[in-house]
Amino acid sequence: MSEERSEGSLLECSGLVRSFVMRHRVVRVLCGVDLAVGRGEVVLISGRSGAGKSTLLGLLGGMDRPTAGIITFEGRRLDRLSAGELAELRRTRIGIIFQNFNLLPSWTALENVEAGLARHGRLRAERRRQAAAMLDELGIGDRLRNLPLELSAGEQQRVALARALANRPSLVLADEPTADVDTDVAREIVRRLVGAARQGAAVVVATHGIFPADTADRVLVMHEGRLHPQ
Amino acid sequence: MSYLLECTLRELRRRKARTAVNVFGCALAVALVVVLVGLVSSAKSAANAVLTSTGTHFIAFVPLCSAACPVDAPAGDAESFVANGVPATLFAADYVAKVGGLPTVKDASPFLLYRLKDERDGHLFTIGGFDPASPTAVATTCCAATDVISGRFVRPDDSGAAMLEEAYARARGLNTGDTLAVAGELLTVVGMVNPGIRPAKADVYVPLPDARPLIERRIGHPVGDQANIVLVEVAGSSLQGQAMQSVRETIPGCVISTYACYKPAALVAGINEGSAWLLTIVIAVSAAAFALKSQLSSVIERRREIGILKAIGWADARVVAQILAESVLQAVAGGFIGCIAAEVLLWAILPGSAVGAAAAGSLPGRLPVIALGMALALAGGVIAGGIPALVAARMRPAEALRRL
Repeated sequence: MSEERSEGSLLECSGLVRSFVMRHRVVRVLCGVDLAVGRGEVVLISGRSGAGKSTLLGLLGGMDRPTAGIITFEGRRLDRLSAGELAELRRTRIGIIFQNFNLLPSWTALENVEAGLARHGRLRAERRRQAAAMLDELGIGDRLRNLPLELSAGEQQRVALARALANRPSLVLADEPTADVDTDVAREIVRRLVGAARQGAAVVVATHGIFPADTADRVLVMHEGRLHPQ
Repeated sequence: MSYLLECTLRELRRRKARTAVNVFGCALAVALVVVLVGLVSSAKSAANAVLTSTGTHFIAFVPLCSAACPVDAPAGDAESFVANGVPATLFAADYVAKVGGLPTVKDASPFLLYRLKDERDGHLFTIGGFDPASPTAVATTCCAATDVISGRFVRPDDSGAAMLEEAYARARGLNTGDTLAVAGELLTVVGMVNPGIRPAKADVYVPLPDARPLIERRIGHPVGDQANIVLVEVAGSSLQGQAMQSVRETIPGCVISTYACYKPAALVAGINEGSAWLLTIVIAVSAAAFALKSQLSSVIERRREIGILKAIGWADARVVAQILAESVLQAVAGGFIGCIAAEVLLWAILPGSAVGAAAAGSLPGRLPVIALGMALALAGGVIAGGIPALVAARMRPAEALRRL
């Protein structure tokens, strides 16, 4: 078991285990992961497909519960929070870029980004303006009213990126963000993620291929359910 | 417009095919419920109206040998007041009024049935004096206007007029328009009747005011307003037993003659009522199950989207509210369309049948059924949306995303 620590950690997990029951068999995907990510840090997690990178990101984002181990985010134990508290965290403090974009198919680009914006204290028009500005900034300001199916893969990923970053989250989790896009879009995505880190966010990127390792502060490899330094 | 409503309407608008299927399913279910409940209800009412008045009549008389009138009975071929084939005694008219005033009795009417000998050939026949102005009890126990096979029915203001029972008329070779001598009085035959099987049957029917002097002439003393039979129509087949008991208590020593068909009628009415409710429940449950299945399919299809919404921070309550709102809106729209479709069906197609006509006949009468249809749609929407929404909302976002 390796232990990765960073000074002033925003996110920490230790002894993280996640098992699934598949066809009456217990499959251990994570076998005791320790990780600490600080503010402004970009951590790249690589590993072959099926190694458990997405599972780890799901746990770090409070979308799943660990079988064992603890996760601390901004000093709060995620494994002890209720589903509602976790949802609140995801809505306000965590931005997630999913594998395969995961956009809502019947919602326009603008509506997809708006859906991810925290609502309280903000007027509808303000949220809409903010979502539109974000998309415009990513170069798809002319595609606001288009449904995901009417967008290219690169455009869809930019919408997903806009949705993840719109709230200016303190933690960004990106699962294969450059996997299905061309080089220019990939470069833009990397630039945005690094930019978010420079503004103080902790960024964790899971990838099994194309993501420039030199942009990351640390690169870890997921192997046999554990994280190892590259 | 709230964000929830906007999202809901957007979902429904952009998933036109799915929305149309759900609305159509709900409309079909509600229309079926409204039409079938309307038809079942009117069929039940129509059947019950017949069944309630089936066998709800009887006659009461006091046999001459009873303790109430200890007089020797006349010989079998002697002239006498008769009822149900046996000599019977007269009783005061206020007994008829008392019977008519019983709460279980719908109508009571006096009847004089006298057996006499023909003056020419000595054959025995009966003359029945009845009150044509009191048709209810008379029609069910004695004879009705619908029993006329030629000529007409006797009117209350007729004088010197008689109706003959068909078999008697044929036996005597008499026809409408002929004259008939009874107790030295010539009566004109105004009609021929075939009352079938009735508890108070006569060969010759005359209005009560004409019957009295004819009979008085034979018995040699005034009859006054007495009668020897009271004809009774009961308020409903379920009250028959109670009514017979009350009449027995009102007229001491009386014998009641009835046909026991009120018993199966009351039983059938009960079965009819029960099966109508059962059918309604079966239809309602089927409709709700259909709506639930339809909505459940829709939610299962959208499991990934629900997972995405939860993953980007939508609270469970918000996800449930969104799915519930979609389901309820579709159900209300479907219910409304279903009710209109049911009305159109009832008005445009079904009036061809008697039951359909009855079902379509009264909109205010059908309002509870329409309200039931709408309530069913709403309940179906809440259940069909609520259950899958709760199931979906309880899933962890990662699980919902992983399942697809």
